[in-house]
Amino acid sequence: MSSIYSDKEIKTLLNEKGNNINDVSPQFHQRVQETLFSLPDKKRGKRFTFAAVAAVMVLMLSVSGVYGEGIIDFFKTHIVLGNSNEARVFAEYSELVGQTVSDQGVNITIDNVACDDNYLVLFYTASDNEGKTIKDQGHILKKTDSVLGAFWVNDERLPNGERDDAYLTRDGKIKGMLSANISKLSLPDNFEVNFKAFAAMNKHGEWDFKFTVSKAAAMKETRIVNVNKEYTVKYPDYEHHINIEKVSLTPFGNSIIISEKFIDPLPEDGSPMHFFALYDDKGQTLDYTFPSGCTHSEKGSRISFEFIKGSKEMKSLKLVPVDPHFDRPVKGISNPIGTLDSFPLELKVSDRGSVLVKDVEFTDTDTRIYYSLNGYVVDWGASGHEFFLLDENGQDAFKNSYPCQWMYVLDREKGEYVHILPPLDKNQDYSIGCCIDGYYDYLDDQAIEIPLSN
Amino acid sequence: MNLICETKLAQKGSKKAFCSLIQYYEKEMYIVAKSILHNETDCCDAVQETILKAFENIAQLKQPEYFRTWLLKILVNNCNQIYRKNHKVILINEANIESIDPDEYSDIEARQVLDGLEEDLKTVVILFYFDDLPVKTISQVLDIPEGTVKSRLSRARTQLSKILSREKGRSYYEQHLL
Repeated sequence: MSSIYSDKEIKTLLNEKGNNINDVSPQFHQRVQETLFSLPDKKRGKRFTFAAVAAVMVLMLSVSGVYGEGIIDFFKTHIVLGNSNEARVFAEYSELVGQTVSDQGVNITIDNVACDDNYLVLFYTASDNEGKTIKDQGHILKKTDSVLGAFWVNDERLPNGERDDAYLTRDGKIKGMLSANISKLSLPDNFEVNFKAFAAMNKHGEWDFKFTVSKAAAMKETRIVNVNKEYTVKYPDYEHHINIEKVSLTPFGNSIIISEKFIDPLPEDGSPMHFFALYDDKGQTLDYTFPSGCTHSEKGSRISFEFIKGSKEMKSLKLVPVDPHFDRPVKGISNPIGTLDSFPLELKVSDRGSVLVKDVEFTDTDTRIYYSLNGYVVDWGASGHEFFLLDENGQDAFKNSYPCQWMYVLDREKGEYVHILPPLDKNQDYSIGCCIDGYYDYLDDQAIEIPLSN
Repeated sequence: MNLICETKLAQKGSKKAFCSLIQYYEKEMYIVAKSILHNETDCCDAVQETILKAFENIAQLKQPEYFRTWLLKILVNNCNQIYRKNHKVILINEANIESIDPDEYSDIEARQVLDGLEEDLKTVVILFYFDDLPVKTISQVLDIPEGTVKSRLSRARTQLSKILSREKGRSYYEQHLL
């Protein structure tokens, strides 16, 4: 008669049977990688249908007659970016493609493509050829409702860019934008691109496109500085051995490429250096995103960081390494809150950074917070910062549920953003606040000056 | 990797941090999905839905230290949905064992042991003995009372003891008496 084994005995015996049950199958691993790769670089939140188009009043945008001409379809019906500087820039450098591929009953048309030295961006329309539309689920456009795919150049898959976006039009089509980060490649002015979509409007399929892209026009407005300088940044318990490879100032956004060799002692989490403050030659803090297209192996990394603000003529950059301590409280600062009586409203989020709220707009379909960043504020590009609104009783206007949010960059030269939240009762008075970033040690004594003269 | 920091970064919208978390838990998710679904394609579909759902909703996770529990719960729900949709009937017999490469013998041994269990016990066994999750966390992941987890573990212990005793005895026989 067998006795009942203890938990320890069972665990030992099961593990003796072999640990191969823990090995992930290649198929599973590939699916995980594909899914992660397809994720956008900013959080996807609630999207709003184009049900009611009001004139979009966007602050601090210079409007010129040029905007109305040549503006590509994607921006024409976009309820936020319609008159933005983004629309102007892409109108200036985009080309018509006009290719359509059908599969699984879904038509995808690549309408336009735009390219500079850092980004390759395409604009598409997707529709169901039986006239079926995506179900409107309360202004939410799920990622799987849009087009998912990847770019290939010379049989090499390109890293995802920061510009994925999609919305539902009045007539049930999907208009979208997809991008790839090409800042780490050395591509000629004209090159062939293969875009392969693997999912669209909730269907898996294959939509294969080939087209030629030119970045020649954008290169005329581009400055590339090959820096290639090595530095060792010393933190209390570890070091980062970096090479600042290249700074590229282009119409669609700027980038700084930093590579790193992993040499012990390494940080506990094994991650490359990605916290730093960046300043232009006038001492203005530049906003930068967390890395996209990160290449991270056991031996090192090569990361392209996008940064915005600063002029294309700036003579130098300064990089100050930062040591973050998110679990440490920030002395003297709690979540800042202000009333909506006058703007700009400064909300201090760290000892060297604040969020400047320029305006809050309450429309029938959403609540829009227009803001810019002052000083060092980490991670502007991903979540767009965590705003909250309090009602007249001091209660969370969204009842402590984290409202799905969407953030847009309205102007990359000036560093202006809009944050979209669900609609609220316009007749109430609200206060606005945002969550503090965290505690940082600034390693000012290890600041790195990067001259930008060729 | 500092998992809580990484979770907080992911909640702020860092795709890199989110990817690191998913890659960290990839093996664990595979084990759990396989214990429920068996079929590779179904496991892939379940994990894809899980990743997308987790990415969409991670900001709503109020306590970052419970990311693992939360992630596994989403996965289990997705696996159960696929299981119910496919109306799969798992036959607990030798016919389930695929023809194998002799090098995978030890893998099959472990799977044979698990396949010898009743269905509702397998996931609990995987989470307890392979993932080292405590009873309370298992109850949260599977959305069942702690008492139910304990009773399933108790039944699993009895069945596993029988299976493993037979295996142990056979091994002893093969080693010493043949």
